[in-house]
Amino acid sequence: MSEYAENLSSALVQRRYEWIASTVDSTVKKGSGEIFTLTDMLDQVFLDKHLGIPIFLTILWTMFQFAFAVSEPFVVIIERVFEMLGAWVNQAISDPYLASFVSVGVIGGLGSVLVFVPPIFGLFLALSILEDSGYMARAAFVMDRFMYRLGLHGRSFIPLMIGFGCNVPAIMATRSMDSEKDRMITMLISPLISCSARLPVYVLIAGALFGASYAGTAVFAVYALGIVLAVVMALIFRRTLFKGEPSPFVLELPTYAVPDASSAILHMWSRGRMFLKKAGTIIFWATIIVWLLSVHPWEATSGGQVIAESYIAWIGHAIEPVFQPFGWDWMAAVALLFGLVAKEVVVGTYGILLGAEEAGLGDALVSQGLFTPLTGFAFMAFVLIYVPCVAVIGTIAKETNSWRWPAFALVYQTALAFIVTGVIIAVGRLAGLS
Amino acid sequence: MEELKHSTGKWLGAYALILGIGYAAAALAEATRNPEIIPGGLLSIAVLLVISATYLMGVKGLIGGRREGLSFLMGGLLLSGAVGGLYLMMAGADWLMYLLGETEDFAVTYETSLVTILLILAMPLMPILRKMTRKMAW
Repeated sequence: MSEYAENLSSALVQRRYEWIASTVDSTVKKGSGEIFTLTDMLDQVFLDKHLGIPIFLTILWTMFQFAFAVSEPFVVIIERVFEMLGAWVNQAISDPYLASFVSVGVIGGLGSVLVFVPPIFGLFLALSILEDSGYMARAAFVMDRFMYRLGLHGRSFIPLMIGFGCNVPAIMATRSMDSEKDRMITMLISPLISCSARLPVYVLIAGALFGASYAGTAVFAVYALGIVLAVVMALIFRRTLFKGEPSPFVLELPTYAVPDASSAILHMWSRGRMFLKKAGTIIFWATIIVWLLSVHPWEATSGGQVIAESYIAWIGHAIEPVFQPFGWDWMAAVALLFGLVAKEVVVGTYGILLGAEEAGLGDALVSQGLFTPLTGFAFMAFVLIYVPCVAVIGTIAKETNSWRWPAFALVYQTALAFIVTGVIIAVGRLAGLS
Repeated sequence: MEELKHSTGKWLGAYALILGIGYAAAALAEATRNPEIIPGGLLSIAVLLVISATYLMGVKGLIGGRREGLSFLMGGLLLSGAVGGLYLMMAGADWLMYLLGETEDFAVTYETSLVTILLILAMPLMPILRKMTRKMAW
C-alpha cells in the first residue's frame, strides 16, 4: 500500500514539474545563456559537473581544519583552568574522600570532556555559516547523482551532514523525506556519521599516538571511514531490507546570502548548548558513577590510589577478554562500556582511571603503553561504529514508533564494529604494525 | 551586471591565469618542500589544486570576453578567501600557542605560507568584482 502511495506521490511531483516546465517555456522569454543574478554566477561554479564535488570536499576540509586546528589554544586555556581548579581543590579540602570526589570525580571526569567545547562549537559555527549562506542545499544537489548511484536519496545528504554535529537532530531531520524506505535507510546509517560526541575520543587518541603532524589525518580518516561505512550499509539495506529505487529528488535551491554573524552565533549556541546540557546531566552522572566504582572499596583502593583493586577494575577484567584480540586492556573495556551512555564518557572514564586531565591524559595513555598507533586507530574506529548512544536509540524508537528498529541498529552496529575493528587490526598486523 | 569589455576580460583572464598557476605552484611547493607531510598534507595539496583549477577554468571565458569566466573568478576568490583565511587563523592559533608556552618558537616568516601571499595577491580582485556586480541581485 505504501509503495503505491510513494509511486503516486512521485508521479504527481513529476506531472507538476512537467506542467511548470511547459508553462515557463510558453510564457517566459530568456536571453541566450544570460546570467541574471549573483546566485546564477556562483551556481555556475559550485554546481559545475567537474568542480562541484571537489569544491564541496574543499569546503568540508576547510570546515574541519577550522574546527580542530584553530581551536587548539582555547582547548589549552580550558585545560589550564581545570588543572588550576583541581590543584586548588586538593589544597582547600582536607577530607580525602570529598577532595577525591571533587578533584577526580567532578573536575577530572567532567573537565576532560569540557575541554572539547572549542572544537565542537567551532564545528557548529562552520555548519551554521554554510547553512546560512545557502551552500548546504547546493551540497545536497551536487551529491545527489553520487548518492543516487549508491541507492540513497539526495535529500539524505542534509540529515547526514547534520549528523556531523549530532545524530539526534540528524535522525529527526529525516522527517523531510517523502519515501518511507529512503527515510529508514537514512535513519539507520545516520549513527555511522561521526558526531561531535566522538570527537573528544578521536582528539585524545590521535593527539597522543599520531603526533601533531598526523593527528588531523587520523581524525579525518575516521570521519572518512564513517562515511564509507554509511555508504556500504546504505547499499546493503537498499538491496535487502528496503528494495527499490530512490524516489526522485526535488529541491528548490535558495538564493545565496551573506551569513549574518549574530544568526550564525545563535545557531551555533542553540546546537552547542545541547552538548553543555549533556555535560551537566548525563556525562556528569556517568562520570560520578565511574568515580564511585573506581574508589570503592575505599580501604582496598587506599582512597582511590590503587584502581586495580576497585570495583571498576573488576568489571573491566570481566569484559576484557572480549576486547583482548584487539590489544586493548580492561580500561578500554570499561571506557567503552560507559561510553554506551554517551560517547564523551569514554574520555571522562580515562580521565578518572588515569587520574589526569586531558593535558596529561594523552601523555598518560602513551607512557602506560595502553595503545599503539594501530590499536589506537582501531579503538577510534570502534568508538565510531559501536552501539549508538542512548539518545540516538531513543530518537530512532520515537521516529519509527517501534523498538524493533533501534534494536536492529544496536545489533548491526555492534556486529559491524567488531568486524571492521578486526579487519583493521588484521590488516595492520599483516603490514607489520604492532 | 556591467558589460565585460574585451580589454578588461583579457587582463582579468591574465590575473586568473597567474593565480591559477600560483596555486598549482603552491601545491607543488607543499608537496616537495615537506615530503614527510604526505599523506598528512595530501588533503591540503588537493585543496590548493582545486582552487587552482577554479581560477584556470575561468581564464578562457574571461579572455574571450564572456561573463561566464567571471563566475569562476568569483568562485576562486571565495575559495581563496576561505582557505587563505583559514591559514591566517591557523597562524594566529600558533601564535597563541607560543604565548601560552606550548610551542618553543614562533616565526612570522615560517607562518607566512604561499597561500597567504596568494590571498593578498587575490585581494585587489574584490573591489573590481564588487564594482562589476554591484547592480546584480542575489
